[in-house]
Amino acid sequence: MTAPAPAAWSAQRRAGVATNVAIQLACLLAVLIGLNWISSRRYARWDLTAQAEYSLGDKTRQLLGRIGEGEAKYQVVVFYAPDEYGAWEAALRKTKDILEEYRTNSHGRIEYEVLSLYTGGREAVMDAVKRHKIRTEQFSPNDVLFKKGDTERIVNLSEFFQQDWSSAPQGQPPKLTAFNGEQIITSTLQALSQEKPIVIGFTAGHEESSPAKAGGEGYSIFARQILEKREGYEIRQIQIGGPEGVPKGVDLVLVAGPLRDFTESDVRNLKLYLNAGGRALFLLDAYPDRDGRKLVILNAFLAEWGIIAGHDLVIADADSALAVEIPGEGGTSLRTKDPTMFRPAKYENRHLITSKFDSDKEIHFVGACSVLIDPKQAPEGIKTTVLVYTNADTFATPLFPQVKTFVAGKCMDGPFGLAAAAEGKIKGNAGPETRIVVIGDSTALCDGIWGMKVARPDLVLNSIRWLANQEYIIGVDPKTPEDRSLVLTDSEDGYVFRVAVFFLPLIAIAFGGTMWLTRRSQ
Amino acid sequence: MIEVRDLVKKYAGVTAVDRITFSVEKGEIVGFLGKNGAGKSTTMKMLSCYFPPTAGVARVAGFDCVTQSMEVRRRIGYMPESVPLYPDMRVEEYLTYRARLKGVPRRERAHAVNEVVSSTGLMDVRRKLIGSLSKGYRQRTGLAEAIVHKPELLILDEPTAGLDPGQIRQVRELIKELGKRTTLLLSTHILNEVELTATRILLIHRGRLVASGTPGSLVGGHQTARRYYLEVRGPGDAVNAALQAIPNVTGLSWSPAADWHGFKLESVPEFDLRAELAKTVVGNGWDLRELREEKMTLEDLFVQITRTDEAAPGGGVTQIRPAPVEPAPAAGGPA
Amino acid sequence: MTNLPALTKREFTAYFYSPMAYVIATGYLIFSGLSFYILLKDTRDANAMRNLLTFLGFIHTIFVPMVTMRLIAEERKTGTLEMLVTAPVSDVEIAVSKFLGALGFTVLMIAPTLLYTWIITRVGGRPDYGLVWASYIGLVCLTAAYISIGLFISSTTANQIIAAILTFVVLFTVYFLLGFFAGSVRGLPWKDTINWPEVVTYVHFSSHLESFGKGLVDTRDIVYFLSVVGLGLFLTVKSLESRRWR
Repeated sequence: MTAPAPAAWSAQRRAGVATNVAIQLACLLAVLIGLNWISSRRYARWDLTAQAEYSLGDKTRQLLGRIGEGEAKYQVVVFYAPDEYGAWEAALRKTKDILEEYRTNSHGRIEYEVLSLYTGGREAVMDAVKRHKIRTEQFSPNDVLFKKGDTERIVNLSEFFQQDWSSAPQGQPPKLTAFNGEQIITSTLQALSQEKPIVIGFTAGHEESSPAKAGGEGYSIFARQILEKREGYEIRQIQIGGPEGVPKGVDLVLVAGPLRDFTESDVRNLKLYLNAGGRALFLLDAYPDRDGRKLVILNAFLAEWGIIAGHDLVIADADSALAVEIPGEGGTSLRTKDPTMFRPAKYENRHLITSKFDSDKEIHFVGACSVLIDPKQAPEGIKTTVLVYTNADTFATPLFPQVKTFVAGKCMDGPFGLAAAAEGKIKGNAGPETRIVVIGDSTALCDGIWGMKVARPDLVLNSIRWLANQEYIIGVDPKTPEDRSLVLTDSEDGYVFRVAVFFLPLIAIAFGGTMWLTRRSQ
Repeated sequence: MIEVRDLVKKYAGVTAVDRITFSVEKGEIVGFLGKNGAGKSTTMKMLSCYFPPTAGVARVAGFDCVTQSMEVRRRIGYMPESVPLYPDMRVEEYLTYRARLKGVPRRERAHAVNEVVSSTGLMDVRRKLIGSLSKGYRQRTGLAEAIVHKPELLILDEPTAGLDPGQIRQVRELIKELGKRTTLLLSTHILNEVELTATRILLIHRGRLVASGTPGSLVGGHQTARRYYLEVRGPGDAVNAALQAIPNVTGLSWSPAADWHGFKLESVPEFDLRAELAKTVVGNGWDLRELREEKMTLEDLFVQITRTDEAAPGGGVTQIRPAPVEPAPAAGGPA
Repeated sequence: MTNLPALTKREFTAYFYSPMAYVIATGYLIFSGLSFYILLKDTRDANAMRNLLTFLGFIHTIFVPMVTMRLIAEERKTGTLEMLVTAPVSDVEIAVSKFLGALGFTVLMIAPTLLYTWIITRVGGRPDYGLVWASYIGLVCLTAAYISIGLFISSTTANQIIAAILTFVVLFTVYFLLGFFAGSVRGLPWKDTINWPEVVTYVHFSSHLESFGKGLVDTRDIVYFLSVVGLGLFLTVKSLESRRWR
């Protein structure tokens, strides 16, 4: 036999192996922790849901990409106040889900928390109030606070969704018919992230609805709460008739329901401004002039751009007219349809402003006038588009027979336009593109309508975004949640129970029994 | 085939195997003999790479059991004492599965299984569930499993444990048959089993190897005295005295009887005293009915070694010292 | 790894030879069927899988230990482990094959619950199939992590009952209890550098199941569950090897 080999396995080596295993374990743990660390930073996420419910739009992603590189953190706090019907629950769940996607996609730059005001415990709410330095008096239930440093924006959860109470079964919460949380969150975050706000100049001097005036025909709610607080625009009131024309620094001119006609100098200045790539939004109405004077100069000015605003009142048919409550004697009220309040029938999806609107989109028109286009009148280089149409049964009645611009005493039958846009560069414009939007209604966004909670600002907001070059916000899709509710009848209930609780386990037993018997047999 | 040097195994402070050194050549059938708990199974588990030794070297076919355990495992067939099998598998299924694990190529697998099934007499039960087999058949299944890949070395731990005499005989024959083909290391605590099957014996006690050799040489090597048995008719005291007076007689015990007295004698191993004894008895005019030398058996040796150790517990049994010759050791011969 | 298919096949088929496996599967289907029925009635939502997933995660903390308890403990008890480790197969192959065998059986055990979606369509519901698939991917990942933990615990004892109970305790903790601890670990050492509540939340299995339930498949969750599988298998291999130094 050969000489003995050195001891292959000794007590020392055994201890060595134990240490070795400990080191291996430590290494493995380090590798796994590292792996998880990397994976939490570089990851992929696939949305398998049928409607891609959790996939944020490209526009939102672009915004989050920019935010991700920023320094400050964004905080979103939902002050949720549940109601007894559970009507907001589905909306809250969707809001939470989508906020989680914002958090994930911004790599934690956007944080959110949901505080339940009635059920969440007082302490948590007070703690949050303290942490975010919230002035409680300015809050209403279901407000959502967006915060970046000391800048903040407040949106109400009610703006995130639309519900349908009519089809909800007795005692059941209503169904969500639309969810535009992403649009609102993205635009609000966008507003927060902006260094310098976009300036909107509200024209004054023609008895316009004023952002400074509250109540009735005032525009304070829309201008202050929506445009300023939520969307982050800067609001100015401007005079355009002066020698200096449209003041410098105004990014877009907004003419909100003028009751007096423009002067020649107003129009001249406006023309100069627009020819050089200016932006303007005109909200017109069916009742332009109480004194008998018409908006002749203004309408003629618009016609130069190929947009024809009618001196008429749009009368809707029963299908598109909205129901209103008319207070009667002794506290009773009459629910009836007002033919001057209606929903349009069709949106032009080929234009960006209305590209994401489908025919169910809730936009209200109140006492509107028609807005048509005449491309032949438009200057070279300017393209005109009708954005919104009525249905065929709606008509427009001329209110001022003496003005026989295009319908001599006769009503105009639908469908016709309610809003139009003009865009392009006229000859000699070396600057940006000129953009004009004319909407045949200003009343729908005045404080009175906001008070009735039927204001639907999406068309005007999208117009402003388009005019202000914020196309990426319009690009965010509102989502229509699919109805997946399922109420079982008694027989269906029994069927589900039989199959799930008896039949399926029986399969396992039968399969097992067969297997067992065949195994036993030789 | 096996090379073991200074093998030590300690479990939680208890030394189960203590510096064992031995080697087994190719083709040998080596019997591992020892009481229960002597360290046989532990040694075999180390050789089969179930666990490594605490110290020392174990090599099989030139491969180290610790550092080259995969090579070793490929070359051995091992049947542990309890013959663990999967009761939920059929015999053939199990053998095919094990053949696959042990690297029998796919094409030869069916043939290899068939061969072991027929050579171990499992033909009738090949489709039966192992759980429903009798102990004897299970043992054969275990054996079949151990040899299905034609190992160079077969390690069988107590292959006949728990079997009835008929089954023992069958298994023993099987082992003899196997021994013709491979090197075989088997352990047992039954003495005549090794005598019947093994070409060489390793006697292990309390973790130590106490003796090794062929059954004959073992007994010869450890014989410390010759023993004789005589039956004599005559005056007991006188016979006793006369026998004691014979030179080289080292011990004598006398069981008195009315007629024929029985005498047990021990003498130094160098001389055969039978002629002398006969001469003495017959010369004195007494009748001699029986005179025989009592050969030492393996069992005697076994008992002798283990008793020695028990007399001196903890003491090392590195060599066998002669038992003290006393006049009346009653333990001499339960025939 | 050449022996892996043979070993895995053995581990997988072994379940079908044992009446115990069918008892477990039947019990599992009764429990999950009841959960499904109650949830569907209660939430009136055709996307019952989102809520059911949380329940199944919990039910698995009870049934996976029953599946994994026998894996090594039984072989240790009957001695077949000695046969297994003295055959020319590596400990890694043994651990992986047992893991795969148990995973295969569990996936098969879960499979009938896919019919719940079919039941929903039978009674007029319109489930989101994407969400169903995502949920099942999550459930399988979670179960794989459970099995690797059960496998390791089974390798540390010869007593199947102890293995099952211990596994249940561990799974119940990582799936359920950890959620309660997340808030109470602020006081741990190095609290300035390590955000302990976040760490506990990360380790917490439920937090990695959430996205799957919504219909989202996230590599972060998959990486986490696979890490647990890797750790479980590593510990199992070391536990098998430990006969070498014990």
